[in-house]
Amino acid sequence: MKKKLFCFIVLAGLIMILAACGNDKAQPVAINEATDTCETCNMAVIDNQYATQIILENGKSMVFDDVGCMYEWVTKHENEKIDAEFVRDYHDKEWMLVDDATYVYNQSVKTPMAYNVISFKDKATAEEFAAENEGSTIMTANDLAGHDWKQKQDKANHSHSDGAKDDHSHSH
Amino acid sequence: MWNIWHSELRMTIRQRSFYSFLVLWVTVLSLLFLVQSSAPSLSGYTNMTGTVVNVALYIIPLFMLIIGSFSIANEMENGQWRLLNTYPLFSISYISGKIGGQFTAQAIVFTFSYGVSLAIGLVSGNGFSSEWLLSIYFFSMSLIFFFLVLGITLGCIVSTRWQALSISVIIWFFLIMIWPTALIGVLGLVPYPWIAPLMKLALFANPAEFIRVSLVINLDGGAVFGQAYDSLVPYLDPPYGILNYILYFIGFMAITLLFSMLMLEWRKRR
Amino acid sequence: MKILNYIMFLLVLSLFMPAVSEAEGTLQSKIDEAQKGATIELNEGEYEETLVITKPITLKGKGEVLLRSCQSDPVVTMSGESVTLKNIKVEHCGDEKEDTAIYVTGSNHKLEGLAIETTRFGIRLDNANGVTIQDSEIVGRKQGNGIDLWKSNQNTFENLKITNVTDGIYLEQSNGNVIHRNDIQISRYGMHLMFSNENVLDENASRANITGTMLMESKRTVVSNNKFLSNNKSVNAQGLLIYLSTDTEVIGNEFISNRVGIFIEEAENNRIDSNKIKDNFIGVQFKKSNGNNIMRNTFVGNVNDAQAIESANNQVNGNYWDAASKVDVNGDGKSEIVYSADPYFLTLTNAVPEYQLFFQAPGLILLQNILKSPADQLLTDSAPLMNMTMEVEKEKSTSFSLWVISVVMILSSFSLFIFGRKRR
Repeated sequence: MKKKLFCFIVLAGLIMILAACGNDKAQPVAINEATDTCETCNMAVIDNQYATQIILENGKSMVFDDVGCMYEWVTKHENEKIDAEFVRDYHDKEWMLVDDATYVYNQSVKTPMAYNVISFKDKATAEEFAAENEGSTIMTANDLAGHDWKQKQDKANHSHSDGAKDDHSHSH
Repeated sequence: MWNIWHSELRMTIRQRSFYSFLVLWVTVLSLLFLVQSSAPSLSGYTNMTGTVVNVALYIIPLFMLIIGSFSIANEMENGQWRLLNTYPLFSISYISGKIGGQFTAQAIVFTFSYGVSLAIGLVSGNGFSSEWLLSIYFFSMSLIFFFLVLGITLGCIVSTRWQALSISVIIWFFLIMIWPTALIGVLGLVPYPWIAPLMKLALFANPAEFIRVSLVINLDGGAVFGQAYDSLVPYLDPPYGILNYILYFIGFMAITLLFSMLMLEWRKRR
Repeated sequence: MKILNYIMFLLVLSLFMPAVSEAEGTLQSKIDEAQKGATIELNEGEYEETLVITKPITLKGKGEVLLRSCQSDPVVTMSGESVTLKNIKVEHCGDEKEDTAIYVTGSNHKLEGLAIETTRFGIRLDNANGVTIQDSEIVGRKQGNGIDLWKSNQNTFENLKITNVTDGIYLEQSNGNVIHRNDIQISRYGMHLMFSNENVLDENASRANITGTMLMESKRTVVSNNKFLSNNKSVNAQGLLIYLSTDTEVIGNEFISNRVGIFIEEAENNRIDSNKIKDNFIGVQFKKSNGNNIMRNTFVGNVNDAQAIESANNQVNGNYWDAASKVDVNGDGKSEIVYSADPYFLTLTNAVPEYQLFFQAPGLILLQNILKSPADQLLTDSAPLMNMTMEVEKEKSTSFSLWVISVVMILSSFSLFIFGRKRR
């Protein structure tokens, strides 16, 4: 009987320790191009600047191929407990928290799911990009929350200024 | 050891229950092979494979556990083991003789039934893929072997046949029937990142699961297990798969043999 | 005499020099000089050059003609209208991200009999309409799409063989294209449609790719008589994925030996009719998809015929499921026992993908049977068919080797048996 009680205590203790381990600050997980797919749209996630990531409080990590997909997921799963949301810098692909980034919305920037929003780690480079590319809107994480996440496929939208540059980056 | 081996083999195949096994396997396997006639394709991982595998997983481990544990519990009960102990005989050779003899006997009856059922299937006009057939054969043989060894280890622990039977059923029920339920229940308590490694550990802890997963991977079905096992699948797929299978076999044997040997030695001293 | 010889030599040289440079260096100038509607025949040989064609001319290879370039410009750039490119090998070895072998814009061009080898993209169509590409071959290095469409409508792709690229044929915001009789292999996605409407995919074969065809947020696509085979190597593999797409017609296709035959997520009002879904690990998977019509399909040999979550409101009628128990009381060819797709496994693995290891584990089947979900939440075929809707050919194998196996098994076990019974 004593033995059993001891076993139980050890097991319970072990589980507590395991549970405690999960309380570290959430870190973004590297993208595995061979097997990672976007949680929302099922497309393969390329290890590029458009990839985003959510870490849930239980430690589960989910990746998205477009920041729009991530916001889509968040609105659809309001009950999930999110620990951290990460986006990447447009130039050096460095991971950062959603709130730390500055965003540029520009309809002529191609993103994998055509949400046309890209992220920068500092405001200056974002402004620089916006100045170089016509039709850009600079946004903060707060603005993104209210963004309507319209994809650019609508016919009604067809007359928009099409950037007309031939170097749209196809990165799906 | 060879004496034990031979006498075990002879005793088993002279028992009447041995022939009832023959009837059982022939019936089950012939039925499975005859059902094949409705299946459009006969290779790879299809629903027929799934059915055969599940039927095998339901019956083989249970019978093998019972046979294995009985073969030792019986001798414990009727005092034959005490008698044997008066001879200078190592526990290890006793156990390996038991395993060898029992396995040979079971392999004979299963192989014979498999051959006969295959012939019945062929006569009734069904075709099979030989690769598929051999995969299923080796899958069943592995199940027979691993669960016989488990059964014999169990036999070294229990003192009566009644105990042997009840514990066999418990083990079978746990490893086959409620294994996923139990794991899902336990893993619900741990933080999410621990689930993947613990699942992999659990895969190796349960020979039935290990053999089943190996078969599916061998039949090119590894992708069905999803992203978490993508890195594991190549190691269970031939040629690495064979090596890992052998390693697993050695590991499994070492643990069970050591355990049953210690049990017997401890019993001898009592 | 010597001087004369010298002069002669110079003369001969001067005669040859322009000829050589004409063949090697001035293909572009030939094109520039050509009249509208002219045909330029290229002689057999290698041309290390990039070409820009802006007027309606025909460029035709005679024998083995190879155009090759490693620059960042495309090997051939086409614009304007009615340019024809015929019987030419094109090799592009540039390794910049956006590099492409052939770049097409404008309208009514014709590309025929090409063999393209590329490190990145094969053919890119940018605002190109009415272009026909046929009887050609594209081989890549999995770093770019075979054919890539951006806002290009009413184009035709026929009889192409595309291998080892990212997406075989990729369409974005491109409508009304016809993709017919192409063969796409060993690539990421065979055909990939994004925000593209009214396209027709007919009689194509898509095999050994990660996904046979992806329809994403596209409307009124017709997918008919295609073959989706052995898309089963990747952990995310499937024959056809329909995501957020509406009014798709999936008719008369074969889905054989894929990881998942058809995967439908959040898609509405699609029709899946008379398809053969055979030997897949999972036949169809429904996720949050309603209002679709699934009928007259034959499900046979799949390890698991159907899984569905939050997809109770579909019209599933008159399919043949070989896993269903079938009883026909009134003799109308339909079973009176409804067939339902079990949601448990998909729900379980959605939350924790690691549990996919339990796929078809005996214990999980038991658990599934215990945890029966309420009937009104299931995807249910109310009248499963008694007989298949189409011929399913049976594999036949030579039985000789099997007889050998059978006899060897019987003999060896029997001799061991005799040996075992023997007293020593």
